Amino acid sequence: MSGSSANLRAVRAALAGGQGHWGRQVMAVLAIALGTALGAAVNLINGAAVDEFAAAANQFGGAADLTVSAGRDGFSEALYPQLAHTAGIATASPVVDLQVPMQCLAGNHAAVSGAQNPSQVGPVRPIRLLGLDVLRAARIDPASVPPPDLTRRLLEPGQALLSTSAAQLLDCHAGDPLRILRGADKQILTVAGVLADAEGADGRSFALLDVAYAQESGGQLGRLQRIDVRLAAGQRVEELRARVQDALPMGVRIGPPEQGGTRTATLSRAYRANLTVLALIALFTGAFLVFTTQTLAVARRRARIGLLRALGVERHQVLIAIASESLQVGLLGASLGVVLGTSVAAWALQRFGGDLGAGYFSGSRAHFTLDLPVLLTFLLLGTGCALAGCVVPAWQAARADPAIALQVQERGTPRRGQAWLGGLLMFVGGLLCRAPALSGLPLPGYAAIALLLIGVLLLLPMLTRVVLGRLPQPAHVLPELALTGLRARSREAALSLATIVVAVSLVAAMLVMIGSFRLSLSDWLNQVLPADIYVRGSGAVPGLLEPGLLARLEAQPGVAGIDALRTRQVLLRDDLPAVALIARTLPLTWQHQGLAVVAGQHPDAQHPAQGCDLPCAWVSEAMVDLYHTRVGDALVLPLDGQPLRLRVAGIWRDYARQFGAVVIDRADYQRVSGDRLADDAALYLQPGTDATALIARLQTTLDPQARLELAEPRTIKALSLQVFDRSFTVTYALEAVALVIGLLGISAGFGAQVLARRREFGVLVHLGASRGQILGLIALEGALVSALGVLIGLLCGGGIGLVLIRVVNRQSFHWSMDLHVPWGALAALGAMMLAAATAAALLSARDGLGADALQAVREDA
Amino acid sequence: MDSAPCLQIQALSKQYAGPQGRRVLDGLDLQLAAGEYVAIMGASGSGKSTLLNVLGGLLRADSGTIRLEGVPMHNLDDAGLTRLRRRRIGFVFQAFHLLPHLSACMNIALPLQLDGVPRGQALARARALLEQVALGERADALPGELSGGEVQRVAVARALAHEPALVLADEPTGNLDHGIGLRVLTLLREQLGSRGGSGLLVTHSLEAARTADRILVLQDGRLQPWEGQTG
Repeated sequence: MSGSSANLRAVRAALAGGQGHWGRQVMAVLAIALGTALGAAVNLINGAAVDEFAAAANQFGGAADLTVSAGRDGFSEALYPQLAHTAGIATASPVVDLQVPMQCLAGNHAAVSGAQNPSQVGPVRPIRLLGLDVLRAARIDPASVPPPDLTRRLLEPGQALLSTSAAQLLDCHAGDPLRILRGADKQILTVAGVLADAEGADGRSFALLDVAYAQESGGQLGRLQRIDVRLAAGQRVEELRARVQDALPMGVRIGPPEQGGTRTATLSRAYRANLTVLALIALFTGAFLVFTTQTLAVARRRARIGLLRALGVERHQVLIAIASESLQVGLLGASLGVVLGTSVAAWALQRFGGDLGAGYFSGSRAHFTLDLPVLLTFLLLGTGCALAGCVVPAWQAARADPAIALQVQERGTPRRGQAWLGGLLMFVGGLLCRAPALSGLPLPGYAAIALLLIGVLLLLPMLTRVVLGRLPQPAHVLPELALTGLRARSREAALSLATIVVAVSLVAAMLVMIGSFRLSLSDWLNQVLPADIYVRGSGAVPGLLEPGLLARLEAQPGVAGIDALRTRQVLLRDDLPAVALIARTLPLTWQHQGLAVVAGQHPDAQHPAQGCDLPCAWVSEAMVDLYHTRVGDALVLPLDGQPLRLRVAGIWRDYARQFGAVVIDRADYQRVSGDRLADDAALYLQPGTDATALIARLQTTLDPQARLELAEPRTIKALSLQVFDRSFTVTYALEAVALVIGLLGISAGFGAQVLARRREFGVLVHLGASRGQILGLIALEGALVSALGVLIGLLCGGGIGLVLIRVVNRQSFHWSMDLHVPWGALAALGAMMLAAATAAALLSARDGLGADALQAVREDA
Repeated sequence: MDSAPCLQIQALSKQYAGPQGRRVLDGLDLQLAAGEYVAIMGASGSGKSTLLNVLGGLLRADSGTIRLEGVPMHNLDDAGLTRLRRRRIGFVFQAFHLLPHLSACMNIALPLQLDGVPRGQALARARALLEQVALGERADALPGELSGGEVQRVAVARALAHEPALVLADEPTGNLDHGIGLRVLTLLREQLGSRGGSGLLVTHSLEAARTADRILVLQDGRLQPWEGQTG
């Protein structure tokens, strides 16, 4: 054993046992464990979901050198022979890739129902429909195609292979009929066989068809979603990519196969980043609990540390000894957190899915995998947070003058520099709010929130001193004692406040943000759903409403007018998901609103848009953020390989699509594309017409083949708000954890202070104070400190909420929202925290009122 | 002394719990007349602090009776003991134990306020007491701003604020230098005398003990007259 390690051991032994009640150490461990667990769980879940989605996206074609794609709507199959004959390309494999509802017509269901009424058999499930030319696909990736016997059957007419997961979901077996619900009823295939899951691909649901049948069944005649390309030997990828890209029609891109997965991952990236940051804030709160605990533990052992220094122990030895205590807390907490986080992730993936209910990854089933780098990262982060929490107290203990440390208990006053630094950090945070997103993520916004929070924490001692100093002197003895005592111990009081301020700030910020978002969404839904009935369907042409059907809908008794809407996908950038091109009847004749315009002109019939030398377009806010589109700009969109030139007349708010949407007049769209179909239609009824009754009538009188989905706006609105609430469920869990950590913090702070003030309470007992009076004094102090913490936390949370609304959300999701302060919820939060924190202070105070208090009076000062 | 007893203790016993629990008070008897001032000496661990805690109503004896001005303390519950302590008993400690964040005046007024005396009245009484201990000018000073002797004079004033029948002084000069210590004891004696209060002084210092009317020694759990006593 070396001399220095022996010395260190002796220093640690001398300091051991003086940290305070073991319960506070346990609280610190728990806080770190909870923060680490949340962070690890959120990352494990996100990682599993993204990996699974990307793997599923690349399952057929992942081995290709390049992939030609154009988003969901795909492109003309005429491109395929051109590409196949391009020099440098050895093999081109056409792919149809759609998500369609399917239903099994036989199996157990047929046995039960006799399959007399197909609508009652088998569950309807959205399943990925993959169409491959298996012979060509085998040349690109032999491992991805089915075994030869199944491949042969796939080439027979009307045959489909199901993955094991899809067969289970549909309750289908080999030989059963399989109906594709997007097509007409005659589109019934036969399940030729069930594919065994490839390694690591369990849980992926898909139906595999020959590419031609897939086109027919999926209503994609003449269209492909993708062409996978294998290059000829010696052909350089970049050279061919550049050459082919130039020859491709507008909106069709050639790139590496993982690009599709990247685009999909981009969809949810901001959501995932937000969850991670929330979890890290919980960890940050835990670090503050360690800071509070360790600062008070150091204060308790001040004389002991002074004695050690007087006996010759060096500064760095004190520093290391105290840091090693936090290291133990951190390692234990982070280890527990990693174990807990792993369990939570496994459970949540099973229970809620990879997107925790947000709806980003529907259709894929993520599986839990033990991601060691993520676990190691959070083990280090948790431990690092605990160590960071002890840096300041350890440094203060080490640099304290032994002579002073040996004398009286520290009565620190806030250092002016600390307050200045706090103010400066808040100012820099304010500046960062004006910075743009980095790599599509609102990193400056997150930094601004961190600086705002740290700035407030640094200002806490000064704020505490100023606020307590300005309170009027109470006339009654207990409030007077409480206030006078707190004024004298404003620094310790500020320490107790720190965790509660962080916790309340986080929760208040989320309440403000979620409240604003929800109300804005509700207002927006009211605005964009002005019609009486909405129609979506899958008619003879799959998934779309034909002109004849639209005319019949308009001719129905009670219908005053119809607004048909066609949505196409256009790919503008390789690294971003497609933009929605929405063609609808403009100007808006049947409603005054219908489009939540935030800038520019409104497409209103009474005030037609002016100054459009090209067809007018209204772009969503995401177009402004991602493509820098402004009112008055010319916009060129690729439509079926042709450029569609538009003039931007206005900007609108779109909570449905976060990567951009462009609204144009349906007449302009039809003129360019010739497409007269519609995806949706809005029906406006004559006064006095009962929407519910009309829906019932339409469902029986219209062609049953049309299979229309009809809904009133209130149903759509309720469903949308339900999805919204579900997507924020996980944030409520994070908030609850932050609040618990905050309460642990105030409990730890007060408990330590009561222990440190045993002598004071003992003196009060000698002076005739009853136990009730002393508890009343502690309760008053707890309430006063908590009220201050809650107030500062609410104000700070309001500020952070604004940053979340104006900066983080805008940069993450590219939509604006109006500020709505949920006063009731904030008041309830404040009252709840005040009551809970006062109770925590009282509970922790019981330690200090025993025989120790009397003994402390007998001890020498 | 001929006056009615202020404090009557009979057969007081106290043994601490545990396998090797020591009997620190063993049938202790004491009678203190009103206005009498008695010093108790004894070796460390002889039970002096235990006796003060029991007399202050902070610790219960195992057996025996204690009557303060005829009130049977041994029969009182915790609330009764607290009330009695608040109104009839004063304490002076070796380490002064003024509350550091309260001014001298507020420290003295505190026991009165805890007993429900209105703030203004309590502060007026505290100021009057500060005048009596010659600290009228330092009423608003915090304990940290006072010298050791001044702090202990404030502590004496606090012990007398509620006109107690009995003041329990536990090594009140232990943290003071010799001269100042004696002046504080003289002050305590004078103030007690002027109010007709009784005092029980626990000390290691014979010189301090000599300021009392009589000196007793606590030994083997009982009080015995100090053999060197002359008066």
